[in-house]
Order: sequence, then C-alpha cells, then structure tokens
Amino acid sequence: MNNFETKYIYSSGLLVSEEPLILNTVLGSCVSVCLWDSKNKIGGMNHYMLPFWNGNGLASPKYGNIAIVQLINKMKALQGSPQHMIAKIFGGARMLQEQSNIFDIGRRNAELAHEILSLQNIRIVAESTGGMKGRKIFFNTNTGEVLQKLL
Amino acid sequence: MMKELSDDQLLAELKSRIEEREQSFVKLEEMNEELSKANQKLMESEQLKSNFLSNARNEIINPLSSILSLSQSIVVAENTDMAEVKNLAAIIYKEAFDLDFQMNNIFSSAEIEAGEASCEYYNIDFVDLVEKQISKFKSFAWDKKLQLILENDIDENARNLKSDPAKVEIIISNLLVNAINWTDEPGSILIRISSEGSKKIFSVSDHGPGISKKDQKIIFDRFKSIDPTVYTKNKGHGLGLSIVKAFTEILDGEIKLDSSPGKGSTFSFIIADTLSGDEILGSSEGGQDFLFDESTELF
Repeated sequence: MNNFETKYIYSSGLLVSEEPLILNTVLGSCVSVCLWDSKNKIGGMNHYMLPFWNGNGLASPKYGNIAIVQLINKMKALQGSPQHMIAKIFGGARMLQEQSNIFDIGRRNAELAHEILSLQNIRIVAESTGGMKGRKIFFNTNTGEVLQKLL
Repeated sequence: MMKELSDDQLLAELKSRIEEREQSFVKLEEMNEELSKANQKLMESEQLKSNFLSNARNEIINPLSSILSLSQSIVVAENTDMAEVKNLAAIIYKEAFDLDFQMNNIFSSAEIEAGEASCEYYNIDFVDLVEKQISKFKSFAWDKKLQLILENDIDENARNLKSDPAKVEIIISNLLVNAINWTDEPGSILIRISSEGSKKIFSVSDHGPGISKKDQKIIFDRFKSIDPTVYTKNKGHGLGLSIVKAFTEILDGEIKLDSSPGKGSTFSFIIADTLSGDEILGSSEGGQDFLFDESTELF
C-alpha cells in the first residue's frame, strides 16, 4: 500500500495528517472513525474504547464522544471542511472474552459514531462494524481508502 | 403468495414493524440523552479545568520568581560565602525540581487529552529505574522527616522490563509524591518491588489519613482532590492520579488501591512486558504482504 510512512494509532489515540500517511490500528470492540476531506486530501483516524466519558479520569479520546468531536476539530484546524468530509467506521465487534460483553460495548461504540457524525452532517460512506472478529485496518490519508483484514 | 396473507397476518406484521421502529426510536432517544449528559459533564469539568489553570499558573509563577530572585542574589553578591551560596542553591534546586514535576504532569495530561500520547518501548532495568526515582525524592522526604524504605524482592535475573520508561517514571514519581505529601512527619513510607512471571509490581504504602470507599471512586478523576482545603499540602491539584491511570492503561498495566480511613493507603502498580514490537506496531508486518492477501477488503 504505497511507500508512505505508517503510523500506528494506539487505543485512546488520534492523528490527523495533511501529509500522505498510512494510519493503521487493530480493533476489537473499540471503534475507529476514519475521516477524509476529499478536496484537501486531509485524513484522520481515532481509536476509542468506550462510548461516553463519564467524568472519570482525563477527558481523553478514549471516549467516543470526545474522540469523534476532537477528530473533526483537528481536521478543521488543518482547513478541512465538514462538507467535504466523508467518514468510514470500523470495529465495534462483540468480543467474547470481554467482561463488558453484557452491555455490548462494541455495538454502542458504533452507534455513537452514527449519532455524532449525523449531528455534524458528515456522511458515512462505508462501514464495517459488529460481528465477532477483530479487525486490522490501514487508512491511506492520501486517497481515503481503507484496507481491512478480519482477524 | 402475497394474496394468501390473511388480514390478521398482515396486521401482525405491520404491528411488529411498528414496534421495531419504536424500539429503535427509543434507543436513539436514549443515546441522545446519554450524549447530552456526557456533554454536560464535560462542560462542568471544563469549568474545573479553568480553575485548575489559574491555580497552575500560580504554581508555575511562584517557584519561577523565587528561582529568579535567589539566583540573582547569588550573582550580585560581593562577598561570596560558600555555605550561604550552597544554601541558596539548595532552595533553587527544590523550587526547580517542583516546577519540573508540575510541568511534566501538565504536559502529560495535555498529551493524553489530545490523544497524542504515543509510546516508545525499550528494555529497562526496572530496579534501577525505581531506585533512581526514590533517590530523586529522598531529599524532599527528608525535609519532612520521612524515611523512604525500599524492599526489593526482584531476582537479579528478573530486573528487565520492556516498556516505555518515560511513562513508567511518571507513574512511579506521582505515586511517590502522593505518599510523601499525604504522610505526616515524622514517619516512613514503604516501597516494595517484586516480580511475578513477566510482571513487575511496584507498591507504595503511606501512613496518611487513608481513603474512604466513597472517595476511592473519585481520586482518579481529573482536577478532583478529596479535600480541596489541603491544596497547600497536596500540590498536584488532582492531576497526578488521573495521569497515572491513563498511562497505566496505555501501557496495559494495572493500578490497585488498598486503603481505609486511619490505616494509610497502598497503591500498587502492576506492569508486564509489552508485546513484541512487531505485534504492537502492526505495521511492521509489511504493507506489501497485506495487499495480496485474499481476506483483505477495500473500503
């Protein structure tokens, strides 16, 4: 997938770049939103673990409601504009080994992405969420393409 | 086929579809409600953050001005009395050390909240790292007539830990500072390190006031201190433990707290070797192999 530099997005991490990069990550019940501004060729990815920040600990992008808004804001800071942004959503699997299984965190993580993106009028053009398998994704910030491999 | 559906069946089908709709509507409503609740909390916490920033401002400016004035008095002194200079230098060092610690915490929390806390993994001599942190804080503990006692149960051949040393240092230093701040003089603080398989355990026990079950729930929150009136005693302003928690999560470690009022507190930090670099940096498998894999999908 080209010879661009590859950056790994850790859970609770977030990166937006105007330089062409390959952003990759590995997801279980976590969700990554890949945002791409098709006009300005700016791309960004987050990797959040839980839907809502509940006042516990630092208000970090570990939480969807913070991670998605921060991602959009960082895109805007690099002159990305919401009307040119498209979103692709990945992850949110139901991982059996997780104790949080009963609440189906994965599904709630994915639902939250829909909720916030629609509030911000950002189109979701592709999605691969749910299921029982983890995912490994590679996001090309130059073309907006995402390669996914089920684990 | 369609014609054979009875009115009853049709009605039942319609009913179930309407119910489905209603259910997803209810779910949406619930999510909306949660979202607005979360935003409310965020706003409240932003308020705390601005209080914090004005406090932090003092905490940066005060030590800085004493560093400036003390060092200046050394520079302009005509008759240099070595003992006096040493005295001043000791105060300057303490102020600078404090400042350095506060700044590290402020930058760490900013990094975490921006999602920019990435890791750099190295092989670390864990025992050495802990000993260095302890010796850094020894003089401050001594100022309070506190003794730092280290009990090392780690075998000579089990000292290695593969992790991010900068983050491990910040976790350990915050736990040490808390123990020192919360213990009344004169007294002692017991630090134990041990290993279990590839896991390392660092625990620090203070003789502070202890933490009630109720307070144990909020101590990891940002900008919250159990008793705001003891700010002068506990300088961290509620940042330290929230950083400890976030970094511990990033490093896949664990924090345990054993405490009850009147009996002091023991914080334990448990950390294992990070997965091999290849597994962590999923990328190093090579993007090219990935392209030709059949199970790959393009979105």
